[in-house]
Amino acid sequence: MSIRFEQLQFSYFKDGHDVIPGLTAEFHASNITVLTGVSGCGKSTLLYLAAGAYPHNAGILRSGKVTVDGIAPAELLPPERCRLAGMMFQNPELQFCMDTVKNELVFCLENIRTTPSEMEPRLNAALQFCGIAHLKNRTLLSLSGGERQKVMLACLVALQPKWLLLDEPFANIDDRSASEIAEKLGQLHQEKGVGILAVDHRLDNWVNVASTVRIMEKGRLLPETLSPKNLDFHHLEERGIIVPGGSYGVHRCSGIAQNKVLELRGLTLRHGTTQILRGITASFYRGRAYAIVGQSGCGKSSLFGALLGMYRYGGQALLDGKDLKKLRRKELGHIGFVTQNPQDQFVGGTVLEEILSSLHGKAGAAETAEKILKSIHLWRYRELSPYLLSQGQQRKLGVATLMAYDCRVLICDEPTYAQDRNSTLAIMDTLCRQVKDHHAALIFSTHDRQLALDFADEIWELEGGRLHAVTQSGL
Amino acid sequence: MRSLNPAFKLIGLLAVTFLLAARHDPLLSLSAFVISLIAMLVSRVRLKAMLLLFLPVFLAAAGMFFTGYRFAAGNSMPVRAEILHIGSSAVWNGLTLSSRVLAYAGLGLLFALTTDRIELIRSFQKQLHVPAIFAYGLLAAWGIFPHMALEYRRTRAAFRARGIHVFPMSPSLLNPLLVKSVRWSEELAIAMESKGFDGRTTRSEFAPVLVRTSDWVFLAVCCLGLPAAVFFL
Amino acid sequence: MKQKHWELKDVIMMAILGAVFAAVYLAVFEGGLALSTLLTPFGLAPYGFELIYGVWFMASTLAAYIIRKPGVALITEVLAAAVELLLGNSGGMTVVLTGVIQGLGAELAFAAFRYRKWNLLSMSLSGIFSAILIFCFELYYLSYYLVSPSVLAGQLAVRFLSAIVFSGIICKLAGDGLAKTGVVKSYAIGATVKTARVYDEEE
Ligand SMILES: Nc1ncnc2c1ncn2[C@@H]1O[C@H](COP(=O)(O)OP(=O)(O)OP(=O)(O)O)[C@@H](O)[C@H]1O
Ligand SMILES: Nc1ncnc2c1ncn2[C@@H]1O[C@H](COP(=O)(O)OP(=O)(O)OP(=O)(O)O)[C@@H](O)[C@H]1O
Ligand SMILES: [Mg+2]
Ligand SMILES: [Mg+2]
Repeated sequence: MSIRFEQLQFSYFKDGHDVIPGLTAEFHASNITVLTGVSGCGKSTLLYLAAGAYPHNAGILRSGKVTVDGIAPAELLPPERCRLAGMMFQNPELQFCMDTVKNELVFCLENIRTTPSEMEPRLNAALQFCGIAHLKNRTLLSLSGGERQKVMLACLVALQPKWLLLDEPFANIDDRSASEIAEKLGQLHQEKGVGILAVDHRLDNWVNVASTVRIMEKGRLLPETLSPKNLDFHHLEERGIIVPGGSYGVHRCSGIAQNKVLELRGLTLRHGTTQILRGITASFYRGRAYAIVGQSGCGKSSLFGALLGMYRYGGQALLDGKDLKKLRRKELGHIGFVTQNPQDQFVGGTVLEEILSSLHGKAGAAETAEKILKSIHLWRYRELSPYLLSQGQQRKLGVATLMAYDCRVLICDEPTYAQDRNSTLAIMDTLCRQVKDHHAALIFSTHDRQLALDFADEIWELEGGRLHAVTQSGL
Repeated sequence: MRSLNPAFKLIGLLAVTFLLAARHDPLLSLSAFVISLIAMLVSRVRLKAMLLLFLPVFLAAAGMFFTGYRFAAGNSMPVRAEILHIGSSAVWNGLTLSSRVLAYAGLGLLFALTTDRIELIRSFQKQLHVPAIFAYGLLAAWGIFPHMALEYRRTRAAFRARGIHVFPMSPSLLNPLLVKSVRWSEELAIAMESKGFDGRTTRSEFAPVLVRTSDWVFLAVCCLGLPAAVFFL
Repeated sequence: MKQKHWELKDVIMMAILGAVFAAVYLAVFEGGLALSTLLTPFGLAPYGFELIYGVWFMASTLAAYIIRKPGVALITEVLAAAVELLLGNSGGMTVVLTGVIQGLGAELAFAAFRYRKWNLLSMSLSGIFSAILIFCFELYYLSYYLVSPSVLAGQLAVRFLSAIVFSGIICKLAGDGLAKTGVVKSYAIGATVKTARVYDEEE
């Protein structure tokens, strides 16, 4: 019982380089394996191949083969394939085709021809397992990023595959739910013998569950298998991998707090009939970094969305003393945004245009853009659509666009999720440079408490629709 | 209306639409409009949604009226106008055109607002034998729709956040939308297939959509009863 | 080109493109209303909608240009109409019928070239065929014959123009633009248009 890759050679473009240039590996169902490695090295691609989604849907398999328990998944029909290996995708949006959570689960069960009387108990059990029974009748569109990931997991649990392929399953989930789910996955593995192959940049949640860690580099697997119980931290750090419990080294951006730049006065927001924000009052000063933490679904993205002008809100938000709602369009450009899903902020057709669009009309735009892209190692992708980059690369590009123009406030929704250690540091450095050099105020949300501790001057927690300060030690 | 089988409802209402098309009679069209309004109210459609949707309809109807009114080709006057003494031929002409817009819209909205889309897809598959791949493909695309409104706002906000001003329907706003829709179709297809959807093999049904006697009655009334009534009156 | 069976991603692509353009049309419709009003003082009100009529043919032409299989134009237009119906369109049930008719027109143009030519000519032609068919239909259906012939001829001419601009020129540009960035490389269009490349070296 294993997933085997034999001499695998895979490329996305006919005349392009191979993303996976000849990979041979075997993952046993008796282990929970975590696959890690720097952003863009081909982890997601490998999972897609194991799930049989590629090369049918994209790319070219030049040579080699993939087998799961001795069967080639790409040759199976979908109903059988999903019983063999179920995959959870990295991007939590657009994984659903029905309207409500329940209907989506029904859709899954219908596909594998479950008898109707069995469906209700089975979908309830799956929801229970993921701790989201209360979301059963919600529409999928109204769920937060983390909630969607849990629903996706519930779908997989309902389908009961022999293998679970998980691509960054906890990227948008708060630590508590993450460790809960990790535990449950361990349970699934032990009781039902489900094989698990997961891709993750952070090993924290896996320490108690996983049995092996493998590292990927430029489409190849490094030969060593590590045990999560006794990891060689130094070795990991060298490879650019986030060390469980390890600090990033304190890089607090700040210097001196300057004048107040953004002020929220009793901000309220509701989605439909549920009150999400119940009066948020806070002030943000230039030259300082603020972290906003809170459970998945507590309303962080909603708060940022309100400031971005996406949602209607009550109360006031003042930028330099002027009401945000009344500002002219030009001045709104003084707030820089990185959205939770990087795809939400792309405006250009290609990677290069993406950077150029924020440099519009400036002298030497072309050179500046080249410099920026080279510094984040995306210059070679300049002609490609931003949507074709790996998740981590998309995020880097999103942050890089902020470098191109100066803003007074930077609002970043989980700027470092799905990033390896080096990229995390690079991104936070970039943001901090803006804080230091341009005296911007940086407000970022994160599920990574260590990140908040190491980089923020002040940490705020969003809970029950209100924002309150927490001390560094209280976190 | 809500309890009718969606496929039957669709066919029945289509039949009525064609009937109206065959008869250029404003009174008939207007009564069809009024009846569909009443049917909507009886089926507890939210009043606000109705008003919102009918606003452009009324505008279009008004536009049609004036088109017909101003550009009447004098000789094609229906005879009955004189019998009913409704003003000049131009007014009648305009009325014919605009009442028709109202009736079509009324019937269409009656269908749209009283039908659950998941039910509709299921019934398409079961009663009309539409291949599952089209039925669910349509459903997935329809599910994208609210996304698109959101996406449109997001893209606008993204431009605004960079201090770039774009006009509401400008190409630079539509282009990201187009790219996204292409990406979406690929990602959605992969996601649906990974959940075991095939489109060719059979699937089980959670709650099969049934055809009841009332559905047949509705169909009979729409396809046979009404034409007969109109014909003889 | 031989008919292969439909892939799920083709179907979803057709439906989504249909939906996108349905939305665009609805938005443009408002613009058309405004345009008509604006033109009213000049007695040109009936041309307001004709100017933008071509937007309506874009979905099928673009989908056909990207996927390049027989039947794409027709099915896209029908799916678009179905989405619109579900949305609660003011045209009501007739949109389904108009969808079929317009789709047939577009399909006819590509079929005339035996699904071998995918260029400005065939795309413009698909728009024009759609325009002709739908015009004949409206003539009867919306009792346009009540409107005087000279106005009708003018309307038709403007509609042709609009079809060429929107479903010919703009669709071609949009399709090629998409192909250049590599997002549609797994469709038939990707094989003909030169797509983006990833450079091997960083420098
Ligand atoms: N458009 C919407 N309509 C209805 N409810 C919504 C909508 N958007 C978000 N919600 C709900 O509001 C709550 C807050 O969502 P939000 O996305 O702001 O959470 P979050 O703190 O960013 O979570 P995460 O860490 O998972 O991203 C969630 O419970 C979500 O289900
Ligand atoms: N659909 C696609 N078309 C073209 N190139 C792609 C596509 N998907 C990924 N790539 C490229 O393949 C490479 C590997 O991508 P992949 O998504 O597998 O990376 P990853 O290891 O999962 O990274 P991350 O940790 O950032 O998610 C990247 O350089 C990316 O640009
Ligand atoms: Mg990835
Ligand atoms: Mg969020």
